[in-house]
Amino acid sequence: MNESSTHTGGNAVVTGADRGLGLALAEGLVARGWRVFAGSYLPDWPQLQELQARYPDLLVILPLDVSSDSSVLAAAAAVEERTRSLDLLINNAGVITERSEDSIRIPQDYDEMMRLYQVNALGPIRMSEAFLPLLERGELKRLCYVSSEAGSIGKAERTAWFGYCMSKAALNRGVRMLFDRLRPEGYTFRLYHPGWLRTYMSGTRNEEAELEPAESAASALEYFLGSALPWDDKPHAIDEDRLVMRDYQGREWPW
Amino acid sequence: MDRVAWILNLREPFGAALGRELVSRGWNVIGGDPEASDPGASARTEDTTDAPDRGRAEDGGKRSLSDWLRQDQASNEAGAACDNRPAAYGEIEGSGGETDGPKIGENSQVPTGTGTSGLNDFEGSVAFGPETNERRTDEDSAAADIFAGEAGQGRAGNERAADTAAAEAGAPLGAGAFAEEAGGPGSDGPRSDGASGGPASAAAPLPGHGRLRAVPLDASRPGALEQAARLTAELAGRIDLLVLNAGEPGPARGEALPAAAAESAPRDHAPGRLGGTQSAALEGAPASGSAGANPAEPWSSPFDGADTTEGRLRDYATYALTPLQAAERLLPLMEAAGGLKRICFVSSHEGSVSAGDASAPIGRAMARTALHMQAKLLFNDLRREGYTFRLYDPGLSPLRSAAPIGREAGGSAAAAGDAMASLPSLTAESARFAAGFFANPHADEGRLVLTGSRGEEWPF
Repeated sequence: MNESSTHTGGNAVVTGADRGLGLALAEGLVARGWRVFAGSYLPDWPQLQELQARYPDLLVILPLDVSSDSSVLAAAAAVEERTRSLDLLINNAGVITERSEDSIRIPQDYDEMMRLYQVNALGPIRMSEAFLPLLERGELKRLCYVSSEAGSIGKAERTAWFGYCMSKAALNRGVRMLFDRLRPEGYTFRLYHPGWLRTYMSGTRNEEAELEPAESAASALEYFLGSALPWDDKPHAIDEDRLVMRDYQGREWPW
Repeated sequence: MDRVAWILNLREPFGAALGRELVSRGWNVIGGDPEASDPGASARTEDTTDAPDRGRAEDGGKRSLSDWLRQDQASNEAGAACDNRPAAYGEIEGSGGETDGPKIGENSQVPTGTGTSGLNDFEGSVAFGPETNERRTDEDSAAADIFAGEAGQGRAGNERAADTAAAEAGAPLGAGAFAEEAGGPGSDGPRSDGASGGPASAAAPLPGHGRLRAVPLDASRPGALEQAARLTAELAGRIDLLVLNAGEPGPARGEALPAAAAESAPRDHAPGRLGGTQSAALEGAPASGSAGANPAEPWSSPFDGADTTEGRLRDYATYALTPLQAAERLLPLMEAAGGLKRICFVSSHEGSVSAGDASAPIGRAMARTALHMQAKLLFNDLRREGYTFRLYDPGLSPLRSAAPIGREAGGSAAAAGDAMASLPSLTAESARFAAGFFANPHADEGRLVLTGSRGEEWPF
């Protein structure tokens, strides 16, 4: 069952790797010889364990709830026990709510909005802060964030979705603040809109969406790992001194 | 003019200044008072909805209302600015009051600008020049002083003086409750600063007197917004202009503010912050990067733990969720026919992803961005029903605005021209611009742009 167990890449952490895009990202990384610490929020979901069985030497399952300070710190400690340095942090974990469509005329669920913010906006910031010491010693120093077009204020056309859109817009701002502070120290950043995926984000798998997670993960990894954009063959085409949000087709989204 | 503005937080210096500015332009203003959330007061106001003659408790709410009306009359007698003002609002149809406005730009049918940019569009903008912007004359101040006396007498001469005291303490609806507010930081222009030397003028009422009302509103208390909405409905019946100035009032005035100093040199300070986090994390327990868990980072102390998860969540609740809650609860009051239907968000360019600098606490900046998104979503939805929107950056951070003297952060394009201006005067200036920006029609209502106090536009 062992497909390839040579550790030829760097070390990565992927959050929300139980299924969907996170799982596809983890799989893409181990397939490239990376060692992946796969954040797992759903211990009962089998897919990640199946992947672990295929790559026992490369994939480490990391119990992780990005909305909890203590869980994130414990995860950072667990990673630190196994490796001295980290090259890549992919903040993928995210949640959405069933009540997104409720307009302002309908009583809103503010606790749910808090939860979305805790996971989608503060989670990635919390992860970045906790894993900085490990990333500091890494080669790549790369921080990746799966955001969403829903966080683009300039392009926003929705009339509700308050909790989700607000959490993603706030995430973009938070990433920008980290960028301003950490870019001078050599860190590089990727902010990604994965497209509308057939994933379980709302609980059940969305069959109407336009992309398989693996398709989006492929272009995500090109973007996350490469210094060249996947859609042109010029090396070093990415301007590391400018933070932008790009989608799976390489298009830049306004803030 | 019988337009009604509703301000989420009247204690916050900008909100207070805006309240007086609107009052001085003939608006009726109702605002939330976060420090008056006495449960007794709310009980009283609830009672008033039931039946009259329910005894003393009900008296409190009723009396403050009639106090208000009396003051309105008193102010008419005192010869204050607006002679034809109705005794209470809600009595005059929307079209009737529009020509009453004594100032340029208050007739909503006459746009005041050519429509190219915020710089030219609004009364209060630099294009109008200082003469136009000067709205407090000596006459006005004399009238206000006279009224101060009369209002005091009106209350003292009341047959039920004891009840009045109770009403004042419990339901701070009269001008007297604003005594502290009047002397508050930034709630007054430079001119009245000069006048505030004497003990009598410390209790000077707000200009416009009975046109300004506070309702108890501690937004962190469950049910407070519903209660404020109910009370507002009793007082005014409708809201034309909803001002969502989220944010906590700064520390007590006069207090030295390390944060103000830190923020005035953002570029020097910012890189050190995460650096500090890192080194602390590296030197600290080998088990963890302790950034999220250690509230005692030296650099975060000015913000009182704002960079902990708890502080970040609190910022989100304060700056993003409270305005949304207020919009949800108060929207029904804005539907009335003839209403202006305008929602104004008071935010900061801290929340600009592309242009905000990195000196603000990350949680507050993120919450501001969330507020901008919220404004955009509401704009997308309610614009279809005739609502219009404003998104405003007063150019004063909540911490900085409480500092007694200071200047704008170095990189800010919203910095006041006069580097020596005091913050109270900056706040008053910013509120003056905001009053025009909020109340006047805009050349392009089809866009939502974060606009600063000089009319400059900030990108999202």
